[in-house]
Amino acid sequence: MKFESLLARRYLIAQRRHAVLTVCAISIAVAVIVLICTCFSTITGIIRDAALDQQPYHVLVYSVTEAQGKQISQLNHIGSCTLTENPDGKTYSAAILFDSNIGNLNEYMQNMERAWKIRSEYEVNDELVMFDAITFDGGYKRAVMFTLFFIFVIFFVLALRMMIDTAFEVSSKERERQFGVLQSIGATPKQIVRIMTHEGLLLSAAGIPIGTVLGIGLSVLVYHGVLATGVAETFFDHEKMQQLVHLHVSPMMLLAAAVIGFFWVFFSAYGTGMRVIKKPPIQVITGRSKSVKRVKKHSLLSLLFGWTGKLASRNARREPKRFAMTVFALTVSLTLFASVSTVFGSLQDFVQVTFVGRDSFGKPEWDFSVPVRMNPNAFHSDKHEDPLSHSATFQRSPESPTAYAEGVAELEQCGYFKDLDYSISLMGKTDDTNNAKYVYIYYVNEGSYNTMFEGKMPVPFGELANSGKAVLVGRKQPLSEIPVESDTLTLTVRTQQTADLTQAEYQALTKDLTEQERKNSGKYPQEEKQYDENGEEIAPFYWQVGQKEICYDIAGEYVMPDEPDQFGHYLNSIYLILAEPCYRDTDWKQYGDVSFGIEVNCNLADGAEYMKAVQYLQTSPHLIYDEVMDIYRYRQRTRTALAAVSVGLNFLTALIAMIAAVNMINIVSTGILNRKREFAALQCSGMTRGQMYRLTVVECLQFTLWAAIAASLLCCLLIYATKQFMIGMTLTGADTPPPVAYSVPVLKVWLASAAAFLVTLLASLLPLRRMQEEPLAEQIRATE
Amino acid sequence: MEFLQIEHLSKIYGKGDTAVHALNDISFTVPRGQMCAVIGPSGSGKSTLLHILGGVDKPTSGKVWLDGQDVYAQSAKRLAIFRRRQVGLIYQFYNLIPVLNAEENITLPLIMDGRKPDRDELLKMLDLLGLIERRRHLPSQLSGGQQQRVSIGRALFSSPAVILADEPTGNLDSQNSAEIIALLRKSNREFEQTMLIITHDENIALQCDRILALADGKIVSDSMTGV
Repeated sequence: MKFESLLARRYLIAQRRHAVLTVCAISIAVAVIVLICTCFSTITGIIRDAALDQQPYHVLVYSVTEAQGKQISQLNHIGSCTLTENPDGKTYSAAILFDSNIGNLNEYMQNMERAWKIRSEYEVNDELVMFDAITFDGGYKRAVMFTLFFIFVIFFVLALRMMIDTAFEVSSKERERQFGVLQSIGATPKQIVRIMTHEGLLLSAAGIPIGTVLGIGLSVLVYHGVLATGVAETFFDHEKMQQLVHLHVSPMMLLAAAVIGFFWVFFSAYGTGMRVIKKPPIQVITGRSKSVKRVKKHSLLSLLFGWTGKLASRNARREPKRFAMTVFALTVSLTLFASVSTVFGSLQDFVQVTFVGRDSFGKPEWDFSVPVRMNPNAFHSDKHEDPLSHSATFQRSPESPTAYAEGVAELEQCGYFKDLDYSISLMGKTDDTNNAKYVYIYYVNEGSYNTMFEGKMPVPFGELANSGKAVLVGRKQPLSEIPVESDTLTLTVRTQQTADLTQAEYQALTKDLTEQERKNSGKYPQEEKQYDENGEEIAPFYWQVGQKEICYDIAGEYVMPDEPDQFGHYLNSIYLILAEPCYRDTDWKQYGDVSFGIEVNCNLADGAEYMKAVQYLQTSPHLIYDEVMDIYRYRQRTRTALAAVSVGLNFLTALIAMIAAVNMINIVSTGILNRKREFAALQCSGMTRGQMYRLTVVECLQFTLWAAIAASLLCCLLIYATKQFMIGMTLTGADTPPPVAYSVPVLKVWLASAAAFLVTLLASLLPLRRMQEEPLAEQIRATE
Repeated sequence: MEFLQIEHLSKIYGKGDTAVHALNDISFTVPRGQMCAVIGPSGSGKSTLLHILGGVDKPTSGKVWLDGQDVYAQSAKRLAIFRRRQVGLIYQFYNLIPVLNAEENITLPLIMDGRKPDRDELLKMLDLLGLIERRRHLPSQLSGGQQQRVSIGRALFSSPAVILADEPTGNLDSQNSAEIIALLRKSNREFEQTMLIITHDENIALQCDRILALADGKIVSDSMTGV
């Protein structure tokens, strides 16, 4: 081993630059794996801790005595058993945390029941059991989770391995001739391989610790970066975040990363050594190929670029395996880059549209949706359960249900909001049969009306308000099915009316009704009295539900663009749009006097005054009857979460691009180094540097062109397969991301190919320039 | 059986109509201790012959027997050990290991063989080569003649049975050339080493015991010089 280690050390010292580059490659590769492993252990750690925080037990036995609880805590595998007194004051709930795997949980619990005569139901915290691998089942689930993670990691492992591999290849390429000489003077193949593996050991001794530290540093950076985006706050409040969200650096994961790194280096070194010894020594020394290859006389490149194209094309065909490998590596990288970034981009767009949202007319959602009370005297209480399963009970309005206008005016005047749009919505149907068409009836204010039609109003709002008529809105096909006769449309509409009734009158009125019918027809407060928020008793009233035929005059129709959505689905909804002043003045009487309030959609006048606006709403209970939908905050949080996800995904994409670039640089520069003598010979024959660079440009173009074509075809194939899969699985609803257009990844492939071309060019020109520093005679002899 | 025996040796590069016959069914023998010059025009197969004899290239067909042993019937490992112990190869462009100094380059075959070089022998060899002062120098710090002497030292130090030299003076001036050939001759006489030297220099060829002339992969003349 002495001779091998001596040479390995000497080579490392002699090729310091290569050694540093290889250590860098190992460090980066290990750092990336450490980062991925740390991300995984952090995410799973946080989920595990959150599961423990919510349910601090593996198993919760509902009812045990104090003595049984003590007995349980002395059992095998029990880490802790915390007893909490039950409301009956006699029994306890035992929260059990195991400290090791118990095998089959059911068997364990049955044994416990038999041994300690515990007859009790129990609850299992499945999530925690899985994360802690407490049972056989939990361990299996955890193994599946880890397996899936490692399948994901394998892709990176292979890509990163290539990085180390090519780093070794480059460093060994320059010494290939020396290995040939060593063999010619008697070094056995094993000894040559040992020199390489010894070098690998020395390099990994430096690269793995550096990579591990770098990976932890990178993880800390990413962790703080993700925290800074506020994504954690979308899942936890501040207190929980402090308690649960922290970086989990798992020693086992670090060990796994180090072991992976070690094997990478070992196999790369071993593989390179094996490649070196494959060729006969004299072939390596003289750089002579053992076979003579027939070359094509004509090629596209020779037509395009003349003799440089011909040379480039022949060079590629001379070593078809190497050419194919380079194109293959680039194709895989381009395809990965384009497909991953396209899928991520498409997902982001989908999430943006889905979660940031648009209303039913496709317009952007508002910042706030404020439920404004029907009138300030109505009150909302959640103290009593509503017989009709509403979340609150409502006082009958002593006035008309149109006092919302005061609330709207107050919202307008407070100065925090703008673009106030609101509507009173009702539902009607064309007849009482099963084939009835349902129509949404909207009384909208002017702002809402203008937004809805985007300036293409079929009837001006003023005319609509003055005439009391309606505009029928919908797509062509469903509109044609609505029975409009003589510009009128009759709809059956639900009405809700209150009446002052005594308990006796109410009972007489509903005595022949079943319980369900009574509930359906209306409600009467329970026998127990109800009080308002000031503690005053609410007068009982009867709330009668019914339906009525109402005839609407149609002032015009608006046919919505008949465009299918991305899955070919059409929206078939029909809307009847009327002016809100008509409701306030007269129409409300047709529908009855019951209304909870209206939803006022509005935007923040000034984003900087968000907190003040929220405070205003919180301190205005007289204005609001239910929970305010703070879409602004939700949207900000979603955007923040999306930004965090985007950062992560972009990082991943950048990582793929970086690995691909490093691999390409290594492959191409090795190719150039391989032909050191040949380039020198060409120059000796009169080739200028410019011509040599041109030859290199054509060669790089050749690589990237073939790879771009292959990657484009692959991406199209992937999209086609995905589309077929989605159709096959009927995953074409609005809740799944839309399929991607073929042009999207193809464009990305060509853009990435252009970048790859520049990278390969750089990778070719740099070693070429370095070679120029040596005298031609030295290059042609390839001595050192 | 002669010490070195070559039977119907052929080496073909490529296949079909692109095939190149570097060696075309040649047979000859070399007795122990003979110093043989191999001459011929470029592309006649001299270097190929030497490399096949040295076990660094494989013949397409034919056999090479050295001291009764079929060279190419051995495993890769045995072949490497054969090269290490039985053959000393000297190249025109020295082919030294650039990260090892002169002394280390010379002793390398012994070290690879797990043997400890004898210090006195080494100093004697360095003295013979005129490299005592330069023994700690790396190849890049030596002149062409000195590098070739290191290369010869490496070939001779393990006392192999055969020395194969591929134009050992091709890259040197006349004074250095004369010194190198004198050195080889001395070693040949002292240790009864069999030597095959490829050369284009008629004077060098005439200093050898025998001259083999090759053309188009065939032996076209085989004569003794009477030295």
